[in-house]
Amino acid sequence: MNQEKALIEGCKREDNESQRQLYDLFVKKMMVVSIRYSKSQQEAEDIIQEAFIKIFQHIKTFKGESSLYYWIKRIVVNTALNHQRSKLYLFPMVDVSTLNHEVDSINLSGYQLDDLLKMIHKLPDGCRVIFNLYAIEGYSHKEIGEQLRISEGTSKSQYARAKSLLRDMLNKDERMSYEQAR
Amino acid sequence: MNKQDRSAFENAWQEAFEGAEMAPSDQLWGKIELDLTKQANSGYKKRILFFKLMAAASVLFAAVIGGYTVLNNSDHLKVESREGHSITSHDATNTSDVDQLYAENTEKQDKAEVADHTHSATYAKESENVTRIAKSDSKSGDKISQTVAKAKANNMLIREDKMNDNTAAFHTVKNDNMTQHISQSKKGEEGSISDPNLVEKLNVAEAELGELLAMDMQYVPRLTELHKRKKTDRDLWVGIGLAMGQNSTSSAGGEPMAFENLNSDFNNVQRDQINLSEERSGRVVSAGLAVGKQVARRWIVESGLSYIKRSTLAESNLAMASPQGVQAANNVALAESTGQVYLTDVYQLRNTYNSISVPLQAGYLLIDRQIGVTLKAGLANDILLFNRVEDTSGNLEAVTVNAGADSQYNTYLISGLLTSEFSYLLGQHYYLALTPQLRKSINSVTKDEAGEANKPIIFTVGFKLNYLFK
Repeated sequence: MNQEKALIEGCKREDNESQRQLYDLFVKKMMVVSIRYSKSQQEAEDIIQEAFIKIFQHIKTFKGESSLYYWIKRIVVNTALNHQRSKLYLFPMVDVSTLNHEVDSINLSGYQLDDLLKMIHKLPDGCRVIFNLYAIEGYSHKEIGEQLRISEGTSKSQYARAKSLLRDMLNKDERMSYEQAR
Repeated sequence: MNKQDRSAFENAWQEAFEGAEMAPSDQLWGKIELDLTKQANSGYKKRILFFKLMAAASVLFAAVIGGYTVLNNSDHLKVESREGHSITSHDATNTSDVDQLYAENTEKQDKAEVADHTHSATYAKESENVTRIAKSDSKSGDKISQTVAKAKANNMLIREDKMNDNTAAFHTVKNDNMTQHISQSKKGEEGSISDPNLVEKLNVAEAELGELLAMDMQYVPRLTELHKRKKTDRDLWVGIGLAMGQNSTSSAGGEPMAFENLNSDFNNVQRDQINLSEERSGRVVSAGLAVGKQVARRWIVESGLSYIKRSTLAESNLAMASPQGVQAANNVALAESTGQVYLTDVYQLRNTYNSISVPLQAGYLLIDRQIGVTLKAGLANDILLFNRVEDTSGNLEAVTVNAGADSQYNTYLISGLLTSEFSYLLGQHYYLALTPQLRKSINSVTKDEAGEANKPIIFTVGFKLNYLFK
């Protein structure tokens, strides 16, 4: 904690060494956040580059009321959303009540990070963003609607579609593993 | 988000990415560092642009003033023909010609006599004019050319007086005293020596032959007075000055770091109870000595030493106990160190910075006559001595904090300077100057940089009395 505080103070003074240390401390975790929203490593690095510039510019306003990790993550997510905003075209509204509500429990422990990312990258852009925001970042559909300037219903329908697609991918993957095992 | 809405599906995905890491490429930090450097440079560029704009504005302002002054004088200098002959007279605003001819003819003269000489003179043109005169009239030209040649040989001034319609009198003068007066009435007559005093009277001249003999200069006391003060007069000078003005802080917000670090349980004073506003603009007074030297025809260098008192105002409800009593406070760390921090009603707090400044400026002499305009720019090293914090109502004791480790302000400041100087020569050795000046801190006044750095802008207008060493 003291180390983190010292880093913050150094970054406020625009000390290059402190900035580098802060970057090294958080960049790997933030790369995973960024790559979930983008389609390629290059795009993810562009988001990280832009996000860290903002972080160093605005760190003087960081009051310490929240965790530094979540503060940085919020900036990275917002930067990723800015990159994606133009790609978020809306699917027609889907009545979520008509979707097949299967049992939700799944087991992802057997999957590597790359496998999970591949599945997420297969989602359409809008679905991918809303899936990340709802399922992994933990935002509500109302908050997502405010963030992306869409209706709560659209957020729900987009997420429902994402969930359906991922479930199909997981089921397909399980069937392939079963057949290979045979 | 309502956690009850989350199912096992969402939780599974969230847990799968918990703590996940991925290394970026090695070049990524280099790109970020480059962007940061570019941003820092753009900040410097903005500062340079600011000074450039100020310099341009000063030059424009001085040029307008100078142009108006010069134009005003030039109205008196155009020579017109009395009898309708238009003389291709040299407009006397062509000061380079005036200076050249004046220098040729007055080099050997006593400066005191020149200073007392209140009449302008007609100057002989170059030999081509003499030739033209000689050729234009076969009879009178010989006499005229002889006279002119003789005068030129003796570095004399030649003036032409028109006596009447048909005569032209050529007067030669040596210094202010006429030694020979050769007049010629009508063509063909011999010239004769007449009263030298006639030469003292300056008239508008018109060449009988219709040719330009010399550049005419009508009697313009102001212009001749202006010519008294030559560029070489400004060799070395010292001066004293006094200035007053205003300063505006450039801090855009943010709390002092000590304020953020206040132990919220300290003496039952909660952080959110403290009301300490940003410093805002206040008065500036400075007094000092200046010393300068002319290093080239139009360039000067000036330095000096001055004492500056700069005050800012703020609101505070913080006070601290000391052996002297309950004191006003704007520095929470200092207040904490006394052991007793109190909250009071909100009061107005004045913070006065007392500094010594050592400026160094280069200047350009835009106009160098009796009225002078100089544009100067440079840097100043400001050394903070102490700052004094006081309650303007007088209810709380004032506190003086010496510069150094205990102060929240930097001891050494570098400031950029931009000065316009409008001067008026008084006699031979003294001149009075009006000096509007803009001063901008390059580094921050405060040691802590939570929020924006505090780099005040100071504008003052002052008067200087300078003594010229000759």
